[in-house]
Amino acid sequence: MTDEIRGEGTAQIQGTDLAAFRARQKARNRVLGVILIALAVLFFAITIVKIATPPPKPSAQAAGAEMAH
Amino acid sequence: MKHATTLPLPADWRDFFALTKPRVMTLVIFTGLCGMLAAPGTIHPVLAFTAILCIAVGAGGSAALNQWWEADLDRGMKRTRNRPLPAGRMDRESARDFGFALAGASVMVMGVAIGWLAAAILAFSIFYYAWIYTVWLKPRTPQNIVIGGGAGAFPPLIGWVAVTGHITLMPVLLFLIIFFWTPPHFWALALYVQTDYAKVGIPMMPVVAGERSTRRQILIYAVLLLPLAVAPALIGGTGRIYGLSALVLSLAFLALAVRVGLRQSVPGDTMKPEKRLFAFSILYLFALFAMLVVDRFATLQGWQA
Repeated sequence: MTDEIRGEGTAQIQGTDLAAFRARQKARNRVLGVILIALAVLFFAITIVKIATPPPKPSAQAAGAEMAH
Repeated sequence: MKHATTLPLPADWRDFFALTKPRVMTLVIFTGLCGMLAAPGTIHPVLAFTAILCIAVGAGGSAALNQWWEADLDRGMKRTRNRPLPAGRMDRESARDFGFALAGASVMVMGVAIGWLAAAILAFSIFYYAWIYTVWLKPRTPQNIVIGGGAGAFPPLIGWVAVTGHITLMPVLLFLIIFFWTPPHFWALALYVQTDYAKVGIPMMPVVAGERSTRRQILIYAVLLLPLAVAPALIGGTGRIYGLSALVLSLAFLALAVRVGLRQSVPGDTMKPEKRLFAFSILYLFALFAMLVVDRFATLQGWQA
């Protein structure tokens, strides 16, 4: 693996700077990955709960109006 | 042409986390959870968790926007100069984008998973803190803390509405309790860190109106807080357990506020009564809301009428 990063064809960082840059990126990506997985699990659980929960029953007044029709 | 340079390190994820003011968030989560648990009705645990998460993330988003806007002020105060932006560990755009992303995501998820009334109140609370308080009124009026208290007062209201789907007098009372609790809580702190606020030109009450006026107002708000704290029991929204606890806690709070309200500091003052009032105010709010939940639990178990 190369020890330099080129930005816009001109900038480059080298040596220990690159190691720190990569370590910081890696830590951020790891945290972001955990958050995305947790969100996927949460949205799945919300969907299951929403599907399983019956819709609210119409109020007595609304039911009466429906029967009158 | 090629030249060697040092690119700035990307901000650490811990600094993004720090932007959300995690310590403030604990109180937000706690009061939101209490509002939810005290509300009449039931909510699925997954949805309850989602609602609390949205309240917390929304609060985190508004805290990030607050720090983005106030980065220059924070640099001038000892208490805040080590935050990610004034310390130079993060660029302002990242904080701004992070704040907007958290705020937007929390409102959308709240709307889709819980309901649009709760989402609308959450959106307004974020706007209230990030713009009405931070941008508009904090630099303009010494009553900024009174107005800022409103932002912290929304979580129990949102928690309650997440369960019931509508607003009644009870959640409004919970809102008012935190609203009236905030000025004595914060001004007690401002009395012994006033030099810091004066340095950055924020019109905090002790700086603008003077110590005597601030102390008098601490006392006034503590007096107003007492009937409000007991009101949920008086209107029949809670039972005796909460009513008695609220009375005892509020009398203790008032006693400490009287000591602060009726004294004047002297050169070299240790400001013990002010520090004691500030410390007790945190305990007061936690205990009051915890008793709200205990009371609801006792009623559901049939231990009280």
